[in-house]
Amino acid sequence: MSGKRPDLSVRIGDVELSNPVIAASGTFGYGGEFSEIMDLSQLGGVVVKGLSMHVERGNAPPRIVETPGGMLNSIGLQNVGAEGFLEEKLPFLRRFNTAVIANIWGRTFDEYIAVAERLDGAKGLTALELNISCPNIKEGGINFGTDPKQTEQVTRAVRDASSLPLWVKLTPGVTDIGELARAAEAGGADALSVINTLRGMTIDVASRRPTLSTVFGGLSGPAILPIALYMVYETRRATNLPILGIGGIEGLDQALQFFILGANAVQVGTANFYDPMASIRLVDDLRNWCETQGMLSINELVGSLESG
Amino acid sequence: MYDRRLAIESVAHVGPGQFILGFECPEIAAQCRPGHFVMISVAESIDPILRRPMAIYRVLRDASNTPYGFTLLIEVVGCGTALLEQKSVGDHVEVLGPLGVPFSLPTTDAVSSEHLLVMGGVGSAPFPLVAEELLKSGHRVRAFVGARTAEALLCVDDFRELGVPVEVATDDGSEGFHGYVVHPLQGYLESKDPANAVLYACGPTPMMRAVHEIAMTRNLPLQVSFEAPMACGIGVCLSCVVCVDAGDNGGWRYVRCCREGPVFDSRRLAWQ
Repeated sequence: MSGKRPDLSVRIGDVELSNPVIAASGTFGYGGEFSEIMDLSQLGGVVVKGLSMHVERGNAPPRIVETPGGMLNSIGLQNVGAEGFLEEKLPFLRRFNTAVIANIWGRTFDEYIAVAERLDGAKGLTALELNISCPNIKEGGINFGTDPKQTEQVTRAVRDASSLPLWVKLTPGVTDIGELARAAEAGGADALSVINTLRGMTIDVASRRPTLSTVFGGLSGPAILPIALYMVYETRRATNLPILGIGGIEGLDQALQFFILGANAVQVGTANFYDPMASIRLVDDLRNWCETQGMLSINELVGSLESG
Repeated sequence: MYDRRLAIESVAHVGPGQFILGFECPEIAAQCRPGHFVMISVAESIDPILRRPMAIYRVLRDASNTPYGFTLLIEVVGCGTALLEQKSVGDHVEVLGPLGVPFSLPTTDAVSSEHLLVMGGVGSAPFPLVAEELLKSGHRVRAFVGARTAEALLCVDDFRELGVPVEVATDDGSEGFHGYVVHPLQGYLESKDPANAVLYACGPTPMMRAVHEIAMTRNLPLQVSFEAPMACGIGVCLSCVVCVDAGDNGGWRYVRCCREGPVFDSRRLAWQ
């Protein structure tokens, strides 16, 4: 037995994470529920449910439908609002030795700035994740993530409104994700979260109506893994910013693929729903895998893609 | 709450597309209260990917009355439950639970009240445990059981074994009252007029709404157990929301069926 266990710590810009496994926004609430079955301190970080300046009720049900190897959701970013988060949720998360990242969104430019300003300086908050890629709200959101000019502008505005490290979460619903990645970098992003869900829909044949109340929703789960991997590949070609790989990660094999492509950390999303211990198990599996490979650090794997 | 990979210890087919799966798990069994549910995986592969919510049917106890396992009463309604129906003893599934807010049952106080359990179809599943608990604390219990046909009736034998009077209704009239189960309930309330009856309901939403209206008219307390499409069962996916009155000038808000429910005081729900 070797005396020293592999080092799983990674740096995302100025942020040091104890390990590269993060719970993805919208799949982990504000951490409270999962703390009943796991020690949140074992995770590298937790990205909380997308926060807006004010309380958001969300979309009418039905909000989910299962699809082959995945699911569509149209939650509509229901959340407790920035104030509710600071008062009721963040104090609880501070008890754990894990990075807390606030995913934020708005319908307008000013709403993005307002929520970023409100969260700035909050004790126990590690970083902001700018959500310009949610397909499920009528205005704002994804519109800021599909036009490079707007991406750069909203990133810069939030950059100026907050002293926190800023991660920008990109949508795969664009022709060239590299262009959006460069736009976010130009606006001052410290890291890129790649990817959010993809738009999709299903039909209830009996009623001939869309299954979801909002017609379309965001596709997630193992079904989107190859798309997410390709998007990370393109993003890595476009920028040297740290990347958080997201999309279809259930366990070790998928996570390793993201690291090889150049992701510096990964976020586990939909798997939290159907396999609640998936993220914690991934931390152990990564450590054991590095050990069997004789790696001293997970960083040895990052960006190790062989060409040709 | 525990997440456990469990072997199926027993399988019993009890009706058309209806079956009971038995599990041994002392930790989950010890925490089960009437109305709790678990999330159970249906496939080893990723299609279908989500676990299914299932009410706890019975808690299994050993000779010293210590809980060691539990059973689930399941009806085939889609691809997930159809896969569960194919399972055999020794197959493994992932089980997360127990989950949710259970029925709020009285202790030994107020034993003069009569507890009326109203159920339709597979909505019957949580009620034998409810009856057991109420009888243990000395309460009077009566069950109103509805189903499509006589052979689809569930839990009637459980109630009879417990000594609970049962009134039955079937949609096709093949057993008991010909029509919906709310009619025998209505008839009973009219003939006995029990001022201190306590109502519980689980079944199709129109049935629960009808029971709610009866409860409102007669000013009787009613708890209903709801179901909604859910991905996680623990309150993080926000899929399974139901509408409740916020109490402020006709205001409303969404609450999670899995976390604030599945059992609700019917007066809290925004039925329209």
